[in-house]
Amino acid sequence: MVAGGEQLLRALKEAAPGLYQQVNGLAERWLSPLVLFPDKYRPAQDKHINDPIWGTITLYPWEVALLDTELVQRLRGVKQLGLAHLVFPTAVHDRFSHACGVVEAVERMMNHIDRNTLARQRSGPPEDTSPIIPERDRYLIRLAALIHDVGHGPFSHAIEPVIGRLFWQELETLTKALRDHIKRTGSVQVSEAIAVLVVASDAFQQVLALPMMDQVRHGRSTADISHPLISAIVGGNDGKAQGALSALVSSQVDADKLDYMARDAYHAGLPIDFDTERLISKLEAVRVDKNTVSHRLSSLGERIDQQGGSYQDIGISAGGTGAFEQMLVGRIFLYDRLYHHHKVRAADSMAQRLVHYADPGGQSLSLATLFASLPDDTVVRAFGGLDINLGTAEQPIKFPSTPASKELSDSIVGRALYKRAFAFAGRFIAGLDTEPEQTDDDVVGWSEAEKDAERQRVMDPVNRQLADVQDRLSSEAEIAELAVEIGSKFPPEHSLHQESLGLKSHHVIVDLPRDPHPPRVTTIARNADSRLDVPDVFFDPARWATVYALQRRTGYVFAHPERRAIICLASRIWFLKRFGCILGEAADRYAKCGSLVHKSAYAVLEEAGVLDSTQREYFERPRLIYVPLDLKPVHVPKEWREADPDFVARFNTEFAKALPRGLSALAERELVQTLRGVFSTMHSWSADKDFVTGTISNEPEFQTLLRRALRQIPLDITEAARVAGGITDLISSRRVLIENKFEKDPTDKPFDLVPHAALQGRRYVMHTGQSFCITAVAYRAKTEIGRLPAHKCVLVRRHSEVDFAEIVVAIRFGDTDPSRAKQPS
Amino acid sequence: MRLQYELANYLVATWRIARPTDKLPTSHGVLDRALEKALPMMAPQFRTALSFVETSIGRLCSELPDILRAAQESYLTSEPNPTYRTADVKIDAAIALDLLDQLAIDLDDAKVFGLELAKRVDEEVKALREARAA
Repeated sequence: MVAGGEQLLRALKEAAPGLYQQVNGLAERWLSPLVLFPDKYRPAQDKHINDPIWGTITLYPWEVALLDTELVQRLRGVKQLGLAHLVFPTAVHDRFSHACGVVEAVERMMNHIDRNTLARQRSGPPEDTSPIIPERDRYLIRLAALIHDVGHGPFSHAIEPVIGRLFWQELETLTKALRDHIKRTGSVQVSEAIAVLVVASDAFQQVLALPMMDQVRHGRSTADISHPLISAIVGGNDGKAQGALSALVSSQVDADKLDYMARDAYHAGLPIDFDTERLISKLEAVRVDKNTVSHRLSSLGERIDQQGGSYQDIGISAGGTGAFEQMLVGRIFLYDRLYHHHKVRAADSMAQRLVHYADPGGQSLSLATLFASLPDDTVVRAFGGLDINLGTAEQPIKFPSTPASKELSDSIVGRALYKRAFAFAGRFIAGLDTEPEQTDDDVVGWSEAEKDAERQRVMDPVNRQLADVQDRLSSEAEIAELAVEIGSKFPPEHSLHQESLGLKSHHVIVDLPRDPHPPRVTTIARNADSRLDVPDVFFDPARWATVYALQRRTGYVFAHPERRAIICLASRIWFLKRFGCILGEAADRYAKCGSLVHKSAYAVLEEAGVLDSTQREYFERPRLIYVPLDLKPVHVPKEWREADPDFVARFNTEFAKALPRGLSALAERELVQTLRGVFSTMHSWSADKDFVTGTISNEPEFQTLLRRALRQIPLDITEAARVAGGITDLISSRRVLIENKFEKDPTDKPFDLVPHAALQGRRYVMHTGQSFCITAVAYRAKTEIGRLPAHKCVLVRRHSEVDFAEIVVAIRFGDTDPSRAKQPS
Repeated sequence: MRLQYELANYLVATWRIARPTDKLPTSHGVLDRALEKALPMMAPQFRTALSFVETSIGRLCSELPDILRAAQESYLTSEPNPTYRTADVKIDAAIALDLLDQLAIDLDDAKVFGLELAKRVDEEVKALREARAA
């Protein structure tokens, strides 16, 4: 559904009534002086501002009027890079200068688009032209650029999750309303949502109605010009010439990025350069129709038809591809060197926790508080208890504060930033090192794929369980609690004991970085032959950038500087117990925390019962983790569990006795899933009278049946002959051998038939690297006694002479009495 | 955010079961369009988590880049190669089954979705080839 301005504004207010009410109140406070005394604000002529990025920025009178309201002026206090200036001292620029820069950037973009349009009109075919951008559209896009960031609260992006938590439900319905009413609306950030609601506010609508805005309205209603304004903020595009211009404010190549990347690098003092001028000069208004799109864009056909045969978009010409690539790649360097610098991450996380601990229940915070027109530095102090009241007697604006937020506030103000106490990443998992650092404890003979499978085992739950702020806060509380417990095990004079005294959750921060969205090429490009295509034909810079970010991605536990050692120790133990993972020395070196904990501490903790001897050994000699088999009820047929409720527990216990040292975690998962498949197959075969009464002639035939059934599960089943020379054996995944046996003579004791099968299975040890196998025995029952129900056809036994565990499963066939084919449990 | 990792697990595990030897397509919007068409077969808890929007290069799934990155971060698929159009699925069937267990997804339902997605991917690839030939 696409609607006019009135409908859009109504829909937005209805979608987020609570959030709108608060934003409406803020907008009234910020804009009422302009509404009441417009003549005081409107300068007689344009204003020119000096700027280190763009040289001179020119603003129209109505823009200056809006610029001088609290709506935009408050952005002077919002630092563009949050607390990054604590690490990069000159990175103190604010969102105000950025907003001005974006206005200049869109102006230059529009100028170049028009110049390129005129050039094509001179030289190209008549149908290959787009209209020159009318003044009224220029004014609107510039206005959108000016206000695009007014939804930012203190510390810029660091605060967004807090607002997101307060209003998550309304933010979801608001996004849906935007997508319903504005074509091509993508994901909507919290700050964008607030900016959109500012446009919808009564006060902003009154500003748009002022006579000074005549040229912007150009005969249109305020609601009607609100539509393209909002569309530009969220990057919508209705396919018309005006709608396409939204891309200049919000898209892959937008003025926002062109300004902030250059500005951030400049103010941080980082020599990361962008060919901004080149990129801007290659922007074009493109007419998209079926004759111009490449086959890769053939899916646009439907949209082209819906738009009457063609529509307008913004793209780049082929000559700008290099500058475009440089922009995508350079952005990743900015993330690595600046936005995700470990100290910047610590500072930003501290700001986020500051707001959280000031009002843990989210009961006291309102937008009026968060968006009080105060500089970030003052907001830090306010959450630390500094008495600031900006409101009225009837409506006081008080910043909530607690002892925890005060401590965090003092740390930020005093630049006592939290330090790295623990680093985690898949590449740091102990035991997976390769030359030249390989040790005796590293796995030998594992392929890179197998190592990645082990990394997957650890990092998948880490990523899931630490993805959300709430989960990280819970983890921080657990680590803090563990640190206190650990500290109490050391003598009072010990430094670890001292560090643990009074230790609370807010002294620990778990941080796992993620930039908002991975880059993906969504820009359209005009090739030399005038065809429109995606500019990634030979090289996709977005993928390159993603690879770089992935390789560098490292999670940290940050600690209060005076409690670093105890939090380091607690984090290591918490990670082992929670994720079954020991990290190698490389992690400590990376985070510069290798010397924080002396190895003797682990012996103390073993004696105190915090660690068992195996865990202590892991910490003293980091290596790959071995775990006990953990078969779960879901892996066993329901009927078996009903017939024998202790089946799962008994099986795990028996296997632990048979193989006391356990399994590599990867082998454990493979064995569990293979057993699940084997048990499921046994169950269905035992219930199938055709199978139970059928004939199996020999081992190869039995193996074929079993192989087919397990592949149906589906498991990865390989003929063992291909890997280790066996003829009638199977290998499931990489590590689970299934030794097949067939007994042609009837017996009532199928487990006695294959006493040496395990010894045969051992010949695969070199291949599977495991000390266990499954032996599947096909047998015919001699008497009624031998007709065992399927759940009793499983046996675990240890072969101590060769240190080997064997799981024997007996599979019955060849019953002569069909009526007894399905055995009662 | 957690949902993106769960979606990654679901997507890769179902693909692995449906197409044990095939790579996951990651370009040309193939997977985006196939996902939208296979949406009715998707597990209910994930169905509403995806949104599909029009972009300059066609209709795309807003969340897919994050989901594919989550798959890479969790070592389910290979890291993207700047010149490749696909990603290797790194997990074997046992791990795929384990991931589905953790998500409490019924194996039969997972197979149905995986096969539907694979079928839709085939259709999209075929359509691209036909457009190229034309």
